[in-house]
Amino acid sequence: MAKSAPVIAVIALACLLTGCWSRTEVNDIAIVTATGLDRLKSGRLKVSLLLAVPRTVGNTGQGGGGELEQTSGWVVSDEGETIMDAFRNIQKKLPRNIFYPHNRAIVIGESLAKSDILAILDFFQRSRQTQMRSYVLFTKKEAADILRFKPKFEKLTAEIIKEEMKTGVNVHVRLNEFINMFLETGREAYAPRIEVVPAEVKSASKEKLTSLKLTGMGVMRGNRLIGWLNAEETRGVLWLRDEMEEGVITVDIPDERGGGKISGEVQKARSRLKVRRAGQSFIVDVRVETELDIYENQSPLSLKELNNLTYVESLFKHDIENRILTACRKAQQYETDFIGIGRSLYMTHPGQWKQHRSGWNESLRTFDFQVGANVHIVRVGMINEPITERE
Amino acid sequence: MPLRFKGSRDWKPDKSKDAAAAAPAQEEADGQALSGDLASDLATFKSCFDRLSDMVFREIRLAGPRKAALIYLDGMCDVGRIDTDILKALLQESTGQALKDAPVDAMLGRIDEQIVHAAQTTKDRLIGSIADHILGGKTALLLDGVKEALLIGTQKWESRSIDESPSEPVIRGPRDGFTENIRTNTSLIRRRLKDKNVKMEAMQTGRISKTQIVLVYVEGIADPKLVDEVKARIKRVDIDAVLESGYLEELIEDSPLTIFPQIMNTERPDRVAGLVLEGKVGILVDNTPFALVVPVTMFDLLEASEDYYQRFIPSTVTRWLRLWLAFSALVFPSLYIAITAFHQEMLPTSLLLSIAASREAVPFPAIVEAFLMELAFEGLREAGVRLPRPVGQAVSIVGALVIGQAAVQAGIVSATLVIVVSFTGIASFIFPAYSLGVAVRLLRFPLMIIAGTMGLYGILLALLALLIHLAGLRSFGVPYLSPVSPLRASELKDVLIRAPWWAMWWRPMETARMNPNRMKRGLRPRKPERKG
Repeated sequence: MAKSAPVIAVIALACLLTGCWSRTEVNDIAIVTATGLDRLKSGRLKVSLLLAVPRTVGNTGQGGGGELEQTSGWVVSDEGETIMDAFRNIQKKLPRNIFYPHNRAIVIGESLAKSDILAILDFFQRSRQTQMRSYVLFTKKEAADILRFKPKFEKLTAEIIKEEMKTGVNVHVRLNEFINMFLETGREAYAPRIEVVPAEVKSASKEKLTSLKLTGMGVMRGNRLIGWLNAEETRGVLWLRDEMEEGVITVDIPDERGGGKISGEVQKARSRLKVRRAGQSFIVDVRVETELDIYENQSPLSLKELNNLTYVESLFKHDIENRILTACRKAQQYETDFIGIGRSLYMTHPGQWKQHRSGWNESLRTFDFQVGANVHIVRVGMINEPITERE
Repeated sequence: MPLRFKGSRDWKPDKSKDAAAAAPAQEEADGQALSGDLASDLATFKSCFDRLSDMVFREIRLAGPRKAALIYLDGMCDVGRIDTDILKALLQESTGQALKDAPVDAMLGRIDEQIVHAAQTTKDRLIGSIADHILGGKTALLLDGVKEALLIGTQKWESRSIDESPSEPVIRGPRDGFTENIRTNTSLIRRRLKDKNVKMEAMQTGRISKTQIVLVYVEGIADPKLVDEVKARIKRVDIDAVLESGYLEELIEDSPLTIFPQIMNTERPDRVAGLVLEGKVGILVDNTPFALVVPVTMFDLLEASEDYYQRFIPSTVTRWLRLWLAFSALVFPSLYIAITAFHQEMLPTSLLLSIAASREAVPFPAIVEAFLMELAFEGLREAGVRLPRPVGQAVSIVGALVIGQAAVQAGIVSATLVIVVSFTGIASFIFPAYSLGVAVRLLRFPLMIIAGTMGLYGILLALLALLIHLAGLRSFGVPYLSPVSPLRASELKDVLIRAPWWAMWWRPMETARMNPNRMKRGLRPRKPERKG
């Protein structure tokens, strides 16, 4: 024992020689919560980072009131040949190390999206600090504008983006899904589009408050952004991709049945997409099953009656079918298969996919889309009869 | 010969002598038998008990007139009983029939059989052993012309009444705890286990203390080899005094250098009774309320006796809670250090930001900060135990205000860390066995250093090393981690869960292999069948 004691002591002390190996305290890191990427006219990349300022974000219990005006995020940006290069330049402006794993959103400006996205994706896969769970978004203007947004509810813009993605009214794409869309055969990539919009509509208030909104999506062909879909069309895509989680559908009741409107909320939705060969072209068969709850009935129709209910169901059915069809038309118009029809064909008939894969996007125009929706109204709300005037 | 002190150059420890040989003259007397001559025997005893102010020699005259003497130790005897049951009886009887025509040799026998009112009497001839008995509280009766002494059991000394054990309180369960009196303690166990197979074997150790030790075990359940091993280990002990069972614990345990206790100590007789029924051996030591139980596993130390008194579902949940908190008492501060200093990506963003915000003003790295607070907490805890009662409140005020709030406000430590430390503090008190709790509390510190140097990787390495160490420990031959390692799946019923009593058919195999059957099968209560 006495002899081995020095040996043990030396080994134990040797452990301490490493010091605090790669230790970084939380107050030595600059936490990146969102990234904006743009391409400058010169062709160089502009990287903007939204940094969280802990003093204003976390509640220390000492600050007291009056800090509401302070922003809890701070946007720092710089340019460079590559992302890493830009990071280096940003780092020069910061006293703390850039800490990337908490990045929640990657906002890509139109300028970059329209040139070449593939090149920048390499960094996000290769770097050890990036997280594949970050959301990818497009924006029509400069990405830094989105980051600079002053949030009201959440403390950070990144938090807003995350929460808005969760509501499920728009498509949401994580980085790993985005990369997969590039890698998978027979499918083009897309990502939601985000915009700063006025918080109030048609308001007389002078104060111009703004809000972030997901307004549709951008679709790509190959590695380039090729066009935008508005919110309506995006909902069609959600149906097609079987990602519909919730949403409100409003239908008009024709005048001969009393006029007015009925709104229903989607409770459950399931869709199936099948491709089959028809002569030179293909027929795309989309089947949708959905359950709706009625939330508002401004028409005189009594929903107690079964035939009224089936009638309303048929109205919803047409509406959903139309939405899906508009999304399909968009795919044909942009000649890009973001729906993943090719993928579906590849999964079921790989041989046929091999024959037709070249020029697939162009041949979309000749496809025939057959959409069939099956709508069930499950609940009509707390009242059966609509409120009517006393007679 | 000049005086030599330990510091001087030519001082050497004298190995030839030991404590017992210190008084050679007395040792000579110890081996002697009584001479039969009262005056000389008394002189021998008086020189033997030289300068013992609490020793009483009482000379009396019996029928005959025959001289007699009583020797007893004041304070260890019931003087009232000596007065009424011995002195009064002897002096009144001395004129009566019993002694009148008795030959000298039979006199002591007559006194024993007919006169003295005492349940416990023995006879002895050797001066040394008589002296030992007197020192143990017996009264010796010497008779002139008789070469034997009558030793009368009059022991009585002040002792604490049976109280609730302060170190192991329960909500449901018996409230009696062991006392410093070993007789009381054996009776507390005997009252619970009345079978003749519950053996209480007496032993003695300690050259000066002559401490009584009682081994408690159930013959037919406990492995005789284990009992022999315990006896052998206790016999090996040759020390001047055993003042507390802790002395014995350190002298008989398997691995003296490990931080983990391999012997359980408890103040609860019901706990000893329960463990003895599983084939373990209880070791009661005189003058301490803490009994030892061997062998124990780590899971025994993580069980409270109350687990068996509450219904099994809450007990099972409590056990899980205890395991989880025991683990967090070990690793929670290290995890805090590792995650805040190395693995910030593991935290949710908002939590990271909160921690970052609270650490903004703190000048120290996380490990220093954590060490400061943990040391302060350990200090408070130790001070709380040691402080005289009236000052106790001051410590809690200082602890709560100064350490808790002021340290955060002064920006020395972060608020998050205070939460971590307080949680760990609470968790470290969840151990039913204080000795295991101490081990875990101490291990926290090296773990924190490792976490501060190598992060989670270091914590993992340290935990692995700890696991290997634990798996290698044994308590009286029983693996410390059994029945988990080596695995005995059927016995997990009393480790991960607390099986209902009607399902605990078997005793633990490791200690009760000889007789594992605990109960009749099919005791599970059923709904009575409806008649008619």
